[in-house]
Amino acid sequence: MLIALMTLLAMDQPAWMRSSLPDRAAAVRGPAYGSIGRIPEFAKDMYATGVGHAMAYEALVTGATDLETKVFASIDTVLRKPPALPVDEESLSPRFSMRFRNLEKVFEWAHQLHFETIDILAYPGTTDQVKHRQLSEAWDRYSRAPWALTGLPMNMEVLDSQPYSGRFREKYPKVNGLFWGYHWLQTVNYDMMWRVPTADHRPQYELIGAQYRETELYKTDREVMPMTAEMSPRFAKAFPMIANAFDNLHMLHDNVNDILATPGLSAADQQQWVNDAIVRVLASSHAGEVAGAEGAGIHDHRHPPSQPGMGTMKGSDEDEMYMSGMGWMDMGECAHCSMSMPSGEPWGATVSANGWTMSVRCLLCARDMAAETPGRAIIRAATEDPNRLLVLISDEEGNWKSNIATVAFLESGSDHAGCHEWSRAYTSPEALKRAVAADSSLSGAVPLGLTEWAARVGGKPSTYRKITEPSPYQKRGGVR
Amino acid sequence: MRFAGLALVAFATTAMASDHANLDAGRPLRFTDAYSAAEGAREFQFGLSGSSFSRVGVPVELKYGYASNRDIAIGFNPVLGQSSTLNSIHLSHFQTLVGETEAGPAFGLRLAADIPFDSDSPFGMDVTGIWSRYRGKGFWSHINLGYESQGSVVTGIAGLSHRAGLNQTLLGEIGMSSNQKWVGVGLRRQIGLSSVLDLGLEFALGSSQRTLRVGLTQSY
Repeated sequence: MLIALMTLLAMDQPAWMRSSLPDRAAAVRGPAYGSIGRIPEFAKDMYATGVGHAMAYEALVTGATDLETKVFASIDTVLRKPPALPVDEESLSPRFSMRFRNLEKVFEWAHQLHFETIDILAYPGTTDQVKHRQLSEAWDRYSRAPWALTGLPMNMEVLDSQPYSGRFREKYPKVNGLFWGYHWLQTVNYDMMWRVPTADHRPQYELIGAQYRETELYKTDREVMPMTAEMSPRFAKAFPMIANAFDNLHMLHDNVNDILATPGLSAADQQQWVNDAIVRVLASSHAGEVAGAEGAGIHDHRHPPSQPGMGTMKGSDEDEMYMSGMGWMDMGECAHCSMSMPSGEPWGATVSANGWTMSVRCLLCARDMAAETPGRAIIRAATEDPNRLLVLISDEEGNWKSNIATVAFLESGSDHAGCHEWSRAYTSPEALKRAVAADSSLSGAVPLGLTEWAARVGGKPSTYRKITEPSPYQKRGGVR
Repeated sequence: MRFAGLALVAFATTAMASDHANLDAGRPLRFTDAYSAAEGAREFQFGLSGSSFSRVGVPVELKYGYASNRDIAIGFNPVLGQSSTLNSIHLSHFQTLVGETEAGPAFGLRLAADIPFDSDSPFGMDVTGIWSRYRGKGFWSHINLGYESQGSVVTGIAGLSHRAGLNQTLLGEIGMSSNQKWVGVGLRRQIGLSSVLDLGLEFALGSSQRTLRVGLTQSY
């Protein structure tokens, strides 16, 4: 019945999908090539994600029945002792590559974009403006391949509502957890680097890497795959096409996993279904369509108004969406005080803790939200200098370290509605004093040092509102 | 002082991982797999070879993946020693014609020409068909069947490669042509983001000659 249904729904496939040729393309060898190695632990973890993908896929196509035990343990061994060099995935999953040649091209090309993006961001030799241009060029280059994924926001509910959807995560929750853990790492890293001085990448990864290796890889209660805009909201806003392509890639991974976990399929059926899943997210399938436009089925390219780098999620409404581990959030509002996020620059701050990253509108909200969350945290905040981003990293006791030794904080108001005006960071006390002198509403404000500012932890502002709707991913009393 | 033979070869591939699993003739054995360099890949090869310290070959090759599934290469093999020589330029074109599927092996075709510097030396061409097939448990088999116009030599090589660990490929081959037979064993090991170390040892059958090849692959 399922096979008959899928046959009826089969999509037209572009000509390149009928070729057995590998069509491998070399990575671009600019000065930034290999800059991921400047963050060695991150590089190794990223290389290991490729091994994890390949080992699981090879096990699935060769009929392994011990995916949750022996295969999981083998993958886990690699993840705990990751390779120091990139690994050729195809040589680890030859059967999978032979059966799904088209998919291999799509995956390899998109994974190359992952690494090229990271290399550009990690490279210390250029300005943020140059990196912006290079990322745009990388995206253009990526998009020209016939197997490029679309950079349009896709309706994730549609993509994840195929007749086979959910089978993999139900059947293999531990290995699915690994996949979603890899995708967490592959999406969380962009905000770690975007407009952040390269010297501040490694200290952040100490925290991020620990979260990945100790927690994110082994989560089996995540309700939906991590989205780029959830993990790296600043990057997704700046490069929505790239963020969307990564989400579409990761959803394609989910689709493929679900197909391979569907019992009773012949190799030909698997190939047909996988090819259909590819076609749904190919750029060529959406030629002439535009972001934000509401269309039918896979041609629905709406996105949250405040976040162009993410498609419509299950149950979402405008900016409101359900985030696994956080519940319902409104992306147009501060995650801490529920006030609307200010438009334009400065953009406020983000708080990363316990595996999530949230946008907040002021430094006070960032500090207090981090304080509410057990464990370490990272705050990335705008300063008066658009080229100097403040990175604060806390220890387990909530003691902060700043990447700007002379950082000075303004915190002079009482009415929270205006918090983004009176709770800010400056690169020096002098810069703060100049800002105060230029704005009569701030008169009398004095610079706060890091220790003094950190000690002012408050509670939830009265403006905060919690959206208490149930999870859209709950079904028949459990996660679907 | 004589030694069995030494070849030091350096290469480069632009593809990430520089790909120890992508096999090429001379790296470090004679057989190749059926796959070309990646599109856009630029490779540089450098090496040392010879049958004694007094006469050492220095093969150099530049390879470029000029299109999808196709590459071209230009190489030299000067010999250094008491009577140094630079005999010819070697040009080759490689094309993967069929990718491996569950139904059949990959197939590639290499066309090559030796253009002599010395007008008295003969011009040679050769054509080689290559089949590669995955055999399971990390093993691939490779058949190379070639014909050289100079001397009408037919060469056949049966090669075996095995992915050993995450960053290493082991190789073995047995080859035969009109005038020689040999066996070889080798190793390709990833030693850097763009670097592969090659080690190979070739034994001539029916004689005591042995050839050691040590190579380095470096992307640029």
